[in-house]
Amino acid sequence: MKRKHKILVYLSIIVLLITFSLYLGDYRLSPDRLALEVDENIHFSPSSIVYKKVYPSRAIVVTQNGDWVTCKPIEKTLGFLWKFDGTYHSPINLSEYPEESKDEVMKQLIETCGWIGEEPVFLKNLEDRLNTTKANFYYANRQYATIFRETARKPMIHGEGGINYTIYQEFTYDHMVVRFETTTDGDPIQIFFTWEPASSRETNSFIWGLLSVLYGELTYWPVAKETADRVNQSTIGEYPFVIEDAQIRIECEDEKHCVLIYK
Amino acid sequence: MSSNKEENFLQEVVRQINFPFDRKSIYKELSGHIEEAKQEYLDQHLDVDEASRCALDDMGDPEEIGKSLNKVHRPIWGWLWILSKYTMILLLVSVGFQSMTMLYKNVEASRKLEPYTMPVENLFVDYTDELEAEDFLFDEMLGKSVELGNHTIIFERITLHKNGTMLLIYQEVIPFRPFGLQSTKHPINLFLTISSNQHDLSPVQGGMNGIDGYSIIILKDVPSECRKFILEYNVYNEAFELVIDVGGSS
Repeated sequence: MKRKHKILVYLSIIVLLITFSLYLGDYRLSPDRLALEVDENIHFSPSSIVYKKVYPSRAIVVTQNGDWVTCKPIEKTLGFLWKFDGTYHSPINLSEYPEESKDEVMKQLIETCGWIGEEPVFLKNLEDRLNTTKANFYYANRQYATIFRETARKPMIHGEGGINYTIYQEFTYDHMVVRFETTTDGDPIQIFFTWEPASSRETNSFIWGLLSVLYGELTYWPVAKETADRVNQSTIGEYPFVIEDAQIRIECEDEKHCVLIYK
Repeated sequence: MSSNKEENFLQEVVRQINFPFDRKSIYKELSGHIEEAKQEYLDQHLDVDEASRCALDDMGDPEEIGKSLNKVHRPIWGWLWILSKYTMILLLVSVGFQSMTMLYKNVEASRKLEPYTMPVENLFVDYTDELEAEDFLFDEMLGKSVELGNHTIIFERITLHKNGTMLLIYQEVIPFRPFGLQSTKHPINLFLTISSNQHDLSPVQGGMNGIDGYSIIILKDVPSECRKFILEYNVYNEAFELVIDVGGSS
């Protein structure tokens, strides 16, 4: 066999092996196909897709099987493949709800589902942004574990009788801590971030990276671009500062301590 | 044996070849040709030196030969060939290992286990006193199976301690699927309802253990007179109902 023919054969085998390896790793070409396959494997089939929304880095797919509905966030990887990270919203039996509240139940399901697994997306995107501004931060990612370490995850009881409580989740890497507080339904309350920057330029990069991720990529941590721009303008050596809009309030005590509060 | 002249000739030829992995084979091939030509001259009764000189003269200019051979053995194709070959081998090993691991895992998951005959005393983790045989009101092997989707649930054993703790030991046999997303076990501990003599005996939430591939459902405060149990499961349109009659037929 001529050398060119051999190369062609080898390359074909390589393509086949890579495809098979990705298949073994549970990567698929379509979020729909993957969602239905996951349903089959959690004994939720035959199911059909009743809602789908595709974001730049992931898709949210709601499937229905009889009266039952469930939702799965599916992540996009390598620009064209889809991967299910194993987290899905436990199926809800719609027949248990009155007819008039079913739309609301579906809406809440989609919102909660949007939140599931959002913090790794948040931190991953943050890292990407910060890398482009040459700041030296990294991210937490449950799947690829992990430069950021999850150092705490616990319920915090607020108020009398423990009626309201939040989930407290903290990630740490070296000189930076990012802490999320959400309701048990996953609704965002606030993000605390503290760090020890090497320079004020690094602080600016960090805040700008954080906010641009917040307004640009995430669905349930929304920040208006105008607010992000205002914060960015305020971080040139001006501390303390407070910026707020209709949705959020950002307070920076100094270069090292900021909190972002959802209203 | 090659003379110095032959060696110099061959070295001059291979020096022109840019792709280093081809030099050895070209050297060997040309060396063979020279030896053949030399042998022909030796057969014509020339001495060794003369035969070698004539053979090399017949071959031509070594630099020219090297250059024309280099055109055929282009380094770009050579490197691509080497690279693709070793990448393929590496991938074959890696994917082979990956698929064998997965295959083994899936064979294990789909394997039907022998009935659970081990002593159950150590499963009562919250019972501090030493357990005696008479502490159990009953301990019976069941071997009753139900089909749930394409899975088979085999209820292996039921045992009730006099402190009211009941264990229901079962295994779930998953159909063998060599590759792809794997089927998970049914959430039986979450959704199984058990009743007996009008008593609702729902499993303890979070009170499910697994041991050696078996699953164990734990029930608390089971009345000591209960001997007939009705198990019902109906989740996401998959359902089964099973009656367990301890000491009798079901």
